[in-house]
Amino acid sequence: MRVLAHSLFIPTAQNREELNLPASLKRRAPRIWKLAYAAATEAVAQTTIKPESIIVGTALGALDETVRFIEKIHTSNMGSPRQFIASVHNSMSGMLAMELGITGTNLTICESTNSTAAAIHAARFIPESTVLIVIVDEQLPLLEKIYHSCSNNHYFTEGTQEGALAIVLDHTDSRFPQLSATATQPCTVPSTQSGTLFSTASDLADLLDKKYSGTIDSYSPTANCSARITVKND
Amino acid sequence: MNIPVIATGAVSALGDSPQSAWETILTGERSLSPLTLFDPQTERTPLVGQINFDLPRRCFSRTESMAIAAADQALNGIDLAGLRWGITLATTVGGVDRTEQFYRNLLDKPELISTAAIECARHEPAAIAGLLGKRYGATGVHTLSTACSTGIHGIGVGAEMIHQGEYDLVLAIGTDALSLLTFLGFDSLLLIDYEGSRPFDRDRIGISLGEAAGAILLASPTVAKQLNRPAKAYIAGWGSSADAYHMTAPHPEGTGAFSSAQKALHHANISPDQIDWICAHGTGTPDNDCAEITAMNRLFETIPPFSSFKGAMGHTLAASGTIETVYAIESFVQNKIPASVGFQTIDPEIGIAPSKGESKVINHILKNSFGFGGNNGSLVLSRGDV
Repeated sequence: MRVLAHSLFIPTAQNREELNLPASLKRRAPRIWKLAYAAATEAVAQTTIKPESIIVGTALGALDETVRFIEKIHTSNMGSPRQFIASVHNSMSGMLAMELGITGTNLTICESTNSTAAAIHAARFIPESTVLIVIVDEQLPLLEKIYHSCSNNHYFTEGTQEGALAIVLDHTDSRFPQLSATATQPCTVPSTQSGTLFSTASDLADLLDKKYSGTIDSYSPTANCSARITVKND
Repeated sequence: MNIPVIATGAVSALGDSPQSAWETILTGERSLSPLTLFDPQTERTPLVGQINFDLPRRCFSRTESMAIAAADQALNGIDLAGLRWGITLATTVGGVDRTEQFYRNLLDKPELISTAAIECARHEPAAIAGLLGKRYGATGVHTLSTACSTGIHGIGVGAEMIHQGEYDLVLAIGTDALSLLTFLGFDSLLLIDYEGSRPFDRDRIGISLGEAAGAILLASPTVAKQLNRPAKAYIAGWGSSADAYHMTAPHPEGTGAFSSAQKALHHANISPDQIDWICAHGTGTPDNDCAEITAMNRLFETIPPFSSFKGAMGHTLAASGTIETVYAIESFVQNKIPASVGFQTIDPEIGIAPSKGESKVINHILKNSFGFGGNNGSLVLSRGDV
């Protein structure tokens, strides 16, 4: 599969201010939607080919909205419709379809910290040749709290990170740079390995930025699975 | 593509196996009952499609427990040794029933934060796929979450994986348990019919929630032969699309629904007039049912008989595409189209009544599922060799 474009968005106080969001997202859109939108629009702007389909990879989805919704139903017995809608794991891919006008296949893959590899792997099995892949996860205070309370557990061992990586792929084109991934495989994750939220996506962006060839292994201690991404440059 | 379905499994309010559920379906009775799994925190108690029989084992979450019950049925007697095989898991609820309980406890006892890692781990949909993969020895696992259309995509992607030689076998599982989060979520959208949903009826006002797990074992034609398992049905085509219109409301012209159904027919190389029954998404919400039939009227010169399972068993969210496909496959055996339970009066906006239940030779079925985010999925199922 050929990489046509890619863009990484890691939010900082400054670039959040500079985000050029449409009116529909500016005010009340969940933060994770904004991350996904920022990376996706930048990647799409880099190529003249409009992707026909979307695959979003996310470990935890719109966790912030999910936590707020659960908080609300336990404190006031009432949920907010907006938070409920956003809490569904595919809310980012639905939003991207609307904002970018992409009406083809629209999938969301939730493969824990292997979601980057899993989304790339899934691209082979959709009918459209061009696909916008967006990997997105968010950080929130509750996750930080959990991280500090159990420092030798699961993917919290190395802390968490948030951001979005968007890649436009043509899976019928074999020219460089090429990207592929294995299926997510059940395994016993070695105790020396941990999966860190969003780190695989950042590592992949680094390889693509530097135009290097290489492999990235990811592990999910929570799902007891692993996967491998391969990047080939000429 | 014609990928054989060699075994199925199912648990829902309709029964503890595909066959027992099919018998219930043919009675035309509702299997909805008052919600007792948790306190809905509302003035009235809704009717839901709750599983009231014992599940074979209690796992970490109810979603996981139901998935194991369905998978055990589908894999019963199948020799998986030496095969490359994968699991596609369709879920939107995941371990939320545990998460919401944990969060409630955490509010009372903040010190429970020290056990949060394991709870968080089980919140993830992928944790269920990982557990199933280990339990059954799958060589690959794939977790999809596209709201109420997920089940269809799990089957479609699984069939495509076999078609492209990635696997010899794929177990497509759809599973979602009832949870307070989903109940109050749909309630906040004013989309719950407390008295039981009435798909396609003039007076329909919303959905009944349900819970279920369905499992469909797909095999390459060669491996189906090796295992001496005739096809119960074939997955002939898969179509997928996005409305790109609204997060919760379908496009009023059903453009996305039309597109996914048209793609599935094209993929199956089948013309619309060959479809004998539309196993509709049919949720019972005013907009959804209207949009679906608008789309089907555009696709078919004369719309074939159509009906929805959701009036009988409730809307089982991500599991609905899988469980309803399992039940639709049963219709090939007896050549019977089930009635659309809950329907009484034609809606002038729809202009046509769903099936009241009829006997008809069924060779091809169109199965639709649509979800939040304007997500649409359709399958064409073809008669098998059984």
